[in-house]
Amino acid sequence: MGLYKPTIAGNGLAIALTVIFVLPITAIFAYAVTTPLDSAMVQLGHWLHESREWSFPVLQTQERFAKIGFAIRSIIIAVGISFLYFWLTNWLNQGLARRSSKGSWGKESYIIESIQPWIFVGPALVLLIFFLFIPAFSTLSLSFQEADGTRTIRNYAFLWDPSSLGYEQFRYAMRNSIMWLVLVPTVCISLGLLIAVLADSVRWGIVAKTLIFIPMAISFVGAAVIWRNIFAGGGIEPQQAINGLTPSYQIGLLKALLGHTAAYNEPLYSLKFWGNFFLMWILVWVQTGFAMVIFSAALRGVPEDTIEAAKIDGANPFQMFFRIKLPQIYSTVVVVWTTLVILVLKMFDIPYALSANDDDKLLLATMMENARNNWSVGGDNVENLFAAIAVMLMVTVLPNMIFNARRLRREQKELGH
Amino acid sequence: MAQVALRGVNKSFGNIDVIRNVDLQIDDGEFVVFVGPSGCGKSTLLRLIAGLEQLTSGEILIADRPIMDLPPSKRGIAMVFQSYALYPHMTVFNNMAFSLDLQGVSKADIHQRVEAAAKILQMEHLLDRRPAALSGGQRQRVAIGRAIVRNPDVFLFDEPLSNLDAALRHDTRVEISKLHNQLGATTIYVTHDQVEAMTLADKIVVLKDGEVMQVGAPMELFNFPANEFVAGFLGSPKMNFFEGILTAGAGSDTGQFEGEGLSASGVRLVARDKGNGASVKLGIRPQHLTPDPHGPLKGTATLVENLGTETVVELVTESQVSFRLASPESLDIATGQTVRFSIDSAKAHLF
Repeated sequence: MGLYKPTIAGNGLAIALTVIFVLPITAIFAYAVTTPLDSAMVQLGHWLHESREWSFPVLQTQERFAKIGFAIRSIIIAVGISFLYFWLTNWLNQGLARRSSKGSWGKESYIIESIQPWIFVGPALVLLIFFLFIPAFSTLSLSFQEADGTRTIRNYAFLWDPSSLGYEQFRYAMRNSIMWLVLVPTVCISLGLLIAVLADSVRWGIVAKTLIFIPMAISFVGAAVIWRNIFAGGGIEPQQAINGLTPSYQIGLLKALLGHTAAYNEPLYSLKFWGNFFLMWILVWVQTGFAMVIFSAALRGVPEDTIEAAKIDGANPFQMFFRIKLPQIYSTVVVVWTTLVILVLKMFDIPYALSANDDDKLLLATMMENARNNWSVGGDNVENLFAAIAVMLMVTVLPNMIFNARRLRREQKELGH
Repeated sequence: MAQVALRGVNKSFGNIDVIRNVDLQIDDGEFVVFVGPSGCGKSTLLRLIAGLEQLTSGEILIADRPIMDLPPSKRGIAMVFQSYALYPHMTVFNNMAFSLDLQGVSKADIHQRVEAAAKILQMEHLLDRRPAALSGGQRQRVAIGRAIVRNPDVFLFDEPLSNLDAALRHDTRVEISKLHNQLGATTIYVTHDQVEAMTLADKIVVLKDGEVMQVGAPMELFNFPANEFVAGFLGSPKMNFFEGILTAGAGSDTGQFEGEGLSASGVRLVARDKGNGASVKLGIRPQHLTPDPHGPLKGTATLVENLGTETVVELVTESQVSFRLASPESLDIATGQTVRFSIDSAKAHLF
């Protein structure tokens, strides 16, 4: 079938070129033709304004109605263009294939089927290239540039230059990000598995699972606020209000239990280094329910007869779990792990809500925000510095990406692809 | 010695009695087949012996040792599941080695035992594969191999052939039979297929609604069924039944039957508790009807099936009772034709 490659390439190119020319022209034309609608909307707004006697300026009403009109037009045109894209490409694909196959039905359907997937993948691919790949590579390139465009590696200086702007912050952020990346998914998955297994063996398991799942519905900032109260300073007496601000009441549940007094009122999450673990715990609390629900479903999918066979083979509950059940839900574990790793990389809210200005608690995401606020007054190549931080963020994901890619390839190989 | 004994075994799920008061003695080295229609409790009985279900009451002994409180792995049994139940994440070797590994058998011993089992089943070349890369028949072998390596006192098979196609089913059946002769272990085999039961078993246990209907050697059950159910269940095509009256011989070994135009005397009387004049059923296998122009039984053919080795004719009597004739010869009967038969009363039964 390699014989048809030139035909397929030719047809593909023809379709792509047609789309590139036809669709934008159609879109511009559609906008041009429907422009009068905007003034109709303005008229409508004007009329409504007069008849209802709205208090704000009439110009504002007109502007708003013009915008609404434009939005409606845009939605209709965008949907129409998408429809046109699929109709046009499909029509072209079939027509071209019929012409170039000269009546050979097998060849015709082969050509159509070779191009068809690309028609569907194409738009997504283009968007990915424009909004993901190109920005990623330009970030990489920016990170090796001065503000005037000359090549440099100075932006990465904070990695080893103690006198540079972000040295301290970056070290903390890097250390914390790696700790979060390792600990949070591990703890979530371990707890999720444990709860999924144990909850299935008790009658009130469904209640337990619901309680553990509920935090999923709480936003990260909300969760941070809840746990701030638990981790807050201990003791009973209220503190003095300073400058009229709400005094931080000594409601720290955990510290009260530990017997700490008002005199020692540093919140647990502010502790040097160890505070990080209290912050991580908040995310674990929110996300364990997610892991648990997925694992619970996956464990139900483990064939009952393999469990019975293992019983007959003499597996005790531990061996049953680690050697029969867990390996069979391994791919689910990897999916959950990947999801959690991505979540941790994006983690911003929790450390930002509780310890935004504490360098010791920075993550790469919060550090970027911190840098945006504090460094922008400092240097002229700030954007290039940010690019360098983003690249470092990308580097921390690499092991995960490589692992996943390898696993995918191995699985496909096993299936004989 | 690994004889199995079941004494007064009962099992109920909630209010439903699945197994009712089963008593059974299985001798060492015997091949016993539990057979019955679906839902008769045969699989449950096997699972009770395996320890996958708990008894409601009664006793199970393997090698004279009560095993009710032992976990499945300590009962000296190995089980082959209908769905094979292979561990999908392990290679064939590891599937077979798993139980030995759990017992703490040394690596060298495991290798030796797995390879020996693989050799018996002629699947040495499959040891490195995963179950997903095996055909149905090969998976079945692995499942059997996994049972063999454990060197159990009792093999339990739960409908092991029902997921195989007809040709493979036949081959595997022959192999299981050979394997039993080779290993000589006590075997309990569950099936709904009476052909498997007849060909494999030293002893057949026919079950219905959780009760044992009859226990015995295949030909004993075939020739001397203890009740209508066993008579109807074993044999293909099914035994014919005609309703009528017991006219003489109540309480004795043979009786006289009148009904459906038939009159037969000296027939084996199964229903000894019935008195003269009571309504009974005459059972006769389709193979034991002989076309006879002057025969007392008259039927109109509704369907003629020519199987090559056998001809099966479906007929109805004048009172719309359907029955069958099976003959090894190809018969000259057309649909709609009326045929007369005589019966061999020595081969008939009264229920």
